[in-house]
Amino acid sequence: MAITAQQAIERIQKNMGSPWMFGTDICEAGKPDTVVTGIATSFTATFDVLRRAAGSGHNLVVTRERPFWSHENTVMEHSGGSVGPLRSDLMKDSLFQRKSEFVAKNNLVVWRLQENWDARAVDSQLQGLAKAVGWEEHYKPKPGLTRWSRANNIFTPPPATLLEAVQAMKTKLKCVAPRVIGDPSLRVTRAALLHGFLLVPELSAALRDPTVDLIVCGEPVEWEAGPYFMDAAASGRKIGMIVLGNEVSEEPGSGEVAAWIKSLVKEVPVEWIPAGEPFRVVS
Amino acid sequence: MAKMELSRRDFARLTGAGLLIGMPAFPASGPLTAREIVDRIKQHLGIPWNEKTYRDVFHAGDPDGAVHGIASTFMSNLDVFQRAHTKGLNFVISHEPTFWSDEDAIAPLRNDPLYKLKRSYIEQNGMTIFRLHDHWHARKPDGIFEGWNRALGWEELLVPGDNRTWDLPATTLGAVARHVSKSLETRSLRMVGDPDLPVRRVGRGAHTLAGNMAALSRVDALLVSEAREWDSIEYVRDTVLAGEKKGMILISHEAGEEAGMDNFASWLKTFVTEVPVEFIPTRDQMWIPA
Repeated sequence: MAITAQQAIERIQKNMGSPWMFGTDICEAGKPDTVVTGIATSFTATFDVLRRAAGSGHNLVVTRERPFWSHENTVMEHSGGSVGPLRSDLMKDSLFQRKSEFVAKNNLVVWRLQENWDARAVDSQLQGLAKAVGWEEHYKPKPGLTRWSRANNIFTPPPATLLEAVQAMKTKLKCVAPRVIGDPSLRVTRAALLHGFLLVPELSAALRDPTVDLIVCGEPVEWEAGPYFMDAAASGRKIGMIVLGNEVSEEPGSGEVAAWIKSLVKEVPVEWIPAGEPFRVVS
Repeated sequence: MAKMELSRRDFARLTGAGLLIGMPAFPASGPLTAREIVDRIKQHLGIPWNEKTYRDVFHAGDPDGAVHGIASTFMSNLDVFQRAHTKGLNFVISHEPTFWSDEDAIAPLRNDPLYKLKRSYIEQNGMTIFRLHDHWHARKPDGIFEGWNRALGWEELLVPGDNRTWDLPATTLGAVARHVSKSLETRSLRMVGDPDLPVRRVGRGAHTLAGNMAALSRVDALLVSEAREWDSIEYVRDTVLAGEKKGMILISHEAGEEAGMDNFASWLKTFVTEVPVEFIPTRDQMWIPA
């Protein structure tokens, strides 16, 4: 039986397990009444993800970040940040136009799912990342807190040096550009696993546990959480930080999104198409 | 043999080192204060001071306390305070904030243990912190980019009339990246695009997507210190995926602007001679494993 993008989206919304709270998860491109032939999920709908989705007949693309890059918000997301650019500005850009044309020509629909997904009690982005780095069995949930909630994020992997820990993550996550702060020979035993954009309150909360000696995160602001961490280290605490990058830290969660949608939408194939790490390093 | 004469600067050093305890440092005019030094900076900048600035203000300490030495730095991290204190430099002039937000907003941090620790370190060691951001950028030429250009060795390559664009001898994205890594002493550089991309024109990008969109259209490669990954970086990646011959080099905020505060220390020394002035590097602490 045929299902349209709008019908698939409504089914997803109804099954979210929490009220649909955020109006930011919207159809970003394409026509909602399009008949869906397959669903792709990704951290972000890059040109490459759109090509692979179109090529494999997955014409509903569920993306965590926006296909036209900007959050288009009118409030700042961090201090010293900026707002926009808004759609009216983006539309003048030739890359915007080319990407929009590709979406239209290939009958794609791009729908954003981030805020409402993150508002669920269980943080599937955390769960996905923990699985991807092989840490599920090392999970140390705090009693009294929902298992796999965002703040319940402590793991005790086998003791390793900071360098060994990051090398293991590079292998597991197949990434090349994680950035590290701390002594490579520092012994790390107890990690707080964070993901995505990192602001000071979340980092500060993770550091309240005095036994944590490793912070793993996605993207700290370099005049906020970055120096906050460096100050914690300068205060005498033996601690390391692995900054995976936003995509690397959030992409496994898009695999979780795919698995979950698969359980709801059985009419069409559902596939996770990772955007991949955007960075290279100098050799 | 030269006559033994104590300059005001030597005198202050000795006083700072505790060798002349009990003697007033400057019986005639009183000790040099942080406020006096800031006033002198304002006079020498050559641009009007914006009295409404929320950035370029005192962040901690007593502006009217005696200054024994000045540390210029990119970011007033605890580690910078510790090194400055060891050297007897109790006035820190920092390009970036102290308490981890652009506004240096302390209200949300009142109960934060690290905030309390950092604040008490400053107070216990008699330090004073001033931020100099907007005005050092607004100076002509921009004091940050002036130092940064020198560190890159690109002073002669600037496009006339444009202090954000360089024309390099024909090279590649990868070669530019290696040069930047080496000259700015950073171990955390990341690239977007093909390392073999031919590059001639490089432009300094921005923290924001709008700034980077505008800049990318005019150059082969952008050189950016800190931008958001979901917008600026993905915009450049999409540009490359769309077949455009473009690239981006992304460096840490420290690597991008630190040399500008080394430049500031040199400039400050030309008119503050009573106390030692030293550049204390914040240093890019991030490293990418091989």
